[in-house]
Parts: sequence; structure tokens; C-alpha cells
Amino acid sequence: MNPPVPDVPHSDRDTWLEAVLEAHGPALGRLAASYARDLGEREDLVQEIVVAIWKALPRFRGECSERTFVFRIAHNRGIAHLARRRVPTASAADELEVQSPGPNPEQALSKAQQGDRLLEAVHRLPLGYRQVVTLTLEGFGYAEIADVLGITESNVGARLTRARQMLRQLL
Amino acid sequence: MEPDTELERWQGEWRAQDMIPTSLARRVERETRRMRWGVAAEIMVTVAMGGGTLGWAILSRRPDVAILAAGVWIIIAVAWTISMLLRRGAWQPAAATTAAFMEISILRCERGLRAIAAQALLFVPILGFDLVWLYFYRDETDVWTFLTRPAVLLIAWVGTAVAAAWAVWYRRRLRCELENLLRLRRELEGR
Repeated sequence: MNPPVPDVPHSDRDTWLEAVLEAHGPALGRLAASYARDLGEREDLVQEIVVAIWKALPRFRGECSERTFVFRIAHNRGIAHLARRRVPTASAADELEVQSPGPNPEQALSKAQQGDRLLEAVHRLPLGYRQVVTLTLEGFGYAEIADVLGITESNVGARLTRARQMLRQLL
Repeated sequence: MEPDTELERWQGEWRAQDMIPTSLARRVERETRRMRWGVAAEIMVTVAMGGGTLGWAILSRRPDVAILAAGVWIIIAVAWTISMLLRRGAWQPAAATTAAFMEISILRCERGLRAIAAQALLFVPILGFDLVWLYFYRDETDVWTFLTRPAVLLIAWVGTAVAAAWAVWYRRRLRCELENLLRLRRELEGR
């Protein structure tokens, strides 16, 4: 898809947004789920993300891929969501000491349930690791993750290695 | 190169989750419409306050109304100057990355806290000017009687109390948000 020109009319923006949602909607939903545990909060966050993308469209000039642009905005809204919350998120280190759920035969029955367990484990990662992991799980490469988050590729690699160790412990 | 089976398995499990809410399109449409109305309302308030008093001064040709219009425009100018100073450098992130967004969010929170202090300081001369102008415009003879009129009581004193309560609540919210952002930045930096 060609990058839209700045100052696009609202109708074109809406069309572009529809295409973005079709291409990245489920991934944006999963990203929101990594920032918000509660279903209502999650839906609100997805809405905020989509509105932020809609608003940011005039600034998109194709310097990066559409996917990078969209996920950068989504992560930024996720951070803003965490900042507005009253209860701070617990870090993985704290959570690991409190509880580390072992393998549960019932939960392992279906892929969706495994997905739930994976999501729960991702929630317990510190934010920096969580961001790298969710982008990796969506199929982003090191360079693209570095571009979204504003960190170096070697930093992405280091965070991912540590995050995977933590995930193995948590799962 | 060997395939990373663990990562592939996790990716499969992760992508099996479909979490996009069905009513999203409608909600987004409603939100964007609300945003457009918000911008229109801001413009209308500025036009109504500034333009209204100016128009009144021109049509009435009365010096007291001219003083009111001048006062309103001075206040608008001061408010805009403060607003521009506080927004300087906080319009958009230095780079289009999540790390830069974090920095600008922290800056906006700090500026927001300063803005509340500035608004509180600006509120005192605005209220003072309005009351003094109204006192002379209405040819009042007794200050106490004027200050205890129901309309003045409601607008000036109840309005002040409501504005103060809002400022306290908003300041608390911003401080909480700033603390969260600083904590998240530490978490992102691995400290």
C-alpha cells in the first residue's frame, strides 16, 4: 500500500484506517491485551490506539513501513494507558517470587488456552522485555523492533534473550 | 540455520488469540466525531469571548465596555503566551520512537503541573478584573452587598470553589501519571 499524502480528507483517512484494521487489527488487539488485563480496559485501549492512528495519519510520510508506524503509535498509547493507571504494574521479578504457575494439563488442551497462559506470562514481564517479546511474537525482526522502540538492535537481542528465559520460567 | 521451534510455537499460540472488539468501528467513529466537536467548541469560546466583547465595545461606543474588551484581550494574550511557552518543545517527540514518546510524555506532565499553577495565578487577576468591572458597570454603591448578590455568589465564589477542586484533582492525577511514567522509564531502561 502506498503511503497516504498529508492532509488527506476524512473519508480517505477512514478508508485507510479500515485497511489498517483489516491488516493489523488482531495484532493490535493482542498488543492491547499485553498492556491491559481487564477486558473493558483492553477494549478502551484498542479504541484509543485506533483513534491515535487515525489522528496521526497526516504525519505519516512513508519514512518507515506502515506496520512500524502503526505499532509505534500502539505502543505509545499502551505506555500512556499504563501511566494513567492508579495501580503500578508488578515487575516479573516480584511476580516470580510470588507465584510461578506450573504446567496445568487442562490449560494445555487447546491452543487458545495456551495462548492465554502465554499472555499471562507476557503480562508478568517488565515493560521493556514485554514490548520486545510482543513484537517478536507478531513476527517483527530486530531492526524493525529497534525502529519502533528507539533502541539499538543489540539491545533488542539482549532484552529478547532475557525475556525468553523469564518466559520459560513462567510457563 | 536451525529453526527456532520454541519461538515458532509461542508465535502460533500468540496469534491464535483474536481480541479485536466487534463494536470498534462504531466507537472510533463516535470518538472522532467528539474530537471534531471539541476543536469547534474551543474556537467558538475564543470567538464568543474575544469577539463578543470587542463587538459590544464597537457597537455601544461606551468607554467602560471598551475597558472590558481591552481587559479580555489582554487576558487572552497573556493566556496564549503562557500556553505557547508551556507547549514549546512539547508538541511532538524528538524522534518517532517509543523511547522518545516516553520522554515527551514526562515533559508534558511536568508542563501540565506548571500550567495548573499558572492558571491558578491567572485566575486571581481575571476574577478581580471581572468583579471590579461589574461593580462599576452596575453602579453598585456597597461592596459587601455586591459581593453577596446571588449571581456573584454563584459565579464567583461557587465557580472558584469548583475550579479549585478541579485543579486539585487534576494536579493529583498528573502527579500520579508523572510518577508512573518515571517508574516505567526506569523499567524500560532496566533499572
